[in-house]
Amino acid sequence: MEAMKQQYVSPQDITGVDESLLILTPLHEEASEKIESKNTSFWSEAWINLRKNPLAITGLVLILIIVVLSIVGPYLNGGGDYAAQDLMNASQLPSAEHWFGTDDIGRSLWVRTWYGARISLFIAVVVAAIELVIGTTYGGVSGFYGGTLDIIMQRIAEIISSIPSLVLLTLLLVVFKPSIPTIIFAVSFTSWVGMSRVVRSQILKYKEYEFILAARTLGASNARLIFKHLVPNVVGQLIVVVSFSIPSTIFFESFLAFLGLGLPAPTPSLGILISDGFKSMLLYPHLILIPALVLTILMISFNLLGNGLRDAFDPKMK
Amino acid sequence: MSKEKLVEVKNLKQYFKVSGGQVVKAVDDVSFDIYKGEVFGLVGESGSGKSTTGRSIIRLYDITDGEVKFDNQVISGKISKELKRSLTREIQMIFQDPYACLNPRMKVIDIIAEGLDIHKLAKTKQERQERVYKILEIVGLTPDHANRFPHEFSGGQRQRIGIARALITQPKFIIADEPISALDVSIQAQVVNLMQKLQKELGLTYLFIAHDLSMVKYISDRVGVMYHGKLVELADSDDLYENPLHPYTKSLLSAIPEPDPIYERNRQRIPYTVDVHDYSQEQPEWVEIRPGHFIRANKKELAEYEKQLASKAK
Repeated sequence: MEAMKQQYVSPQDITGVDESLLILTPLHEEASEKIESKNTSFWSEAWINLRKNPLAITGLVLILIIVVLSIVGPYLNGGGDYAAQDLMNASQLPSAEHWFGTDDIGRSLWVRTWYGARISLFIAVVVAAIELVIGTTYGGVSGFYGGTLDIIMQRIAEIISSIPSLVLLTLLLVVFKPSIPTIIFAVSFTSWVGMSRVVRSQILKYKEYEFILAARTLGASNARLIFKHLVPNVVGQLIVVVSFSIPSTIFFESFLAFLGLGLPAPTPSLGILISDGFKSMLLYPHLILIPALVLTILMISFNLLGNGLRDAFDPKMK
Repeated sequence: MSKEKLVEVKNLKQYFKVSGGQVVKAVDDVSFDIYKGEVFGLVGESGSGKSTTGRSIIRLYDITDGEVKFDNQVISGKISKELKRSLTREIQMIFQDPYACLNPRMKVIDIIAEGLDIHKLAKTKQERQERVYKILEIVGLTPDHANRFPHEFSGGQRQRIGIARALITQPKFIIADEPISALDVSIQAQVVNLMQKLQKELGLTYLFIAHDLSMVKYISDRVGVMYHGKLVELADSDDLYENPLHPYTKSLLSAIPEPDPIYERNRQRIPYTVDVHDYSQEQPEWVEIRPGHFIRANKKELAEYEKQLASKAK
């Protein structure tokens, strides 16, 4: 163990330069600890990242335009009554009087399109909110407590998600007559499982992080661990999942309407308008094209925004 | 140094069930004491159970068997709520990974003040802020760091935030779980010096877990060597480095790099396998071969080690 004694090696030994020629720079302790960059929180950083993504911003702007139009649109042209008939002017092409034209019984397509978009968006947002509440709670409990409870809860979730959702939806909508609440119930019946899986996997990941252990050693309660430490770390992921869940619900609703399981007449939704327009597609193509275009723009915009949000919250995934 | 025991670990066992019905004996029958005001180093290779030992003491795991005492009170197994509460103030932990040990969504002030919030130690917002500022200065940071988020700091700064968080409840005993192994060498010295300074000023006791032997030697008063869940040797720091007896300790010491090119070129590493022990006749026991120098050996080996010590003493 003799050789283990430490030996001082001077800069001169290494470089061969005389030590007197070397000037030691004084160490500024204070300055070296200073952080010059601007103080950025998680949200402001995500927003900065999102702003750099032109596609996501385009999506966001288009969504905002459609949302505004779906709220005020019906009153701008035609009085806002989606069921009002103007039989003298049935099946018209777009004109100054009826901006999007009229359908076969003279209802203004402009009013019906934006009112339909409002209903489609409403259903999608409510379904997303239900998914968020049930999915987060279910996935959070399952992931946080783990063990046998986790195994049982995951098997139940698997059974629910293994039922073919279309069959289930058809059955549910045949039993309960189609209306906004029943459609919301039917769609959210299975769709929360996806959300719960995302939350569970995130909780499982963060649960083992040392900051959770640190909080435990400080005596933090489970409620504190969940709401102060785990949930804030999962929020970014949740927003991304929601931004993808909204277009898929809109799509599902349209799909059901096309199958004849949509809302009863005269209530419009984007799906019902497309389904109605399909009947006279060759004679009056604008009746299907306009609502289809709004639906397409809405879906693409949500997908672009979702992708942008995913990159903004987690730049590593790019 | 007073020889008052602060922590007593007796026959600590921590087994984990893994899939397939197998049991991993992460810590298997480990006993040691930590005296008030000392730095107790725990070394060993990855997976030797050093971190698990630390986490079992601080009750992050429910121990399988054995007993842990803190300040002459049993703190393992089922304990009262009041004791649990006081323990979470008196025993604290510093973690290994400076990037995972701070919640990325919380501001530094809230991270450090967490102990105050949980134990309701600060009566007003003003007091909470003042205490955080004070502790920030103690660990060499400044009050204007308080409103920033962890991702804006360097590894060494983050580790110091972690130390500040551990200190805010004014603990007596700190378990440092490889606090420097994830840091740059130049920053390691900074953090270790800070820990030493704090120990002297605040009268802390440390359990210092590490695999960097030179650093452990520098900071520890006594050192325990772990191998595969068992303590194999325990002695005063100087004693252990000068008179290593157990072949595993010798092997570990032979692996310390030195900033000396000639020594490094000729360095002889001593390999270690469990095959060097012949435990077919007699099982090894945990015995005190010299006052304060413990070793895990059977009678035959013990005689051998005695001889080694005697020849060294000449």
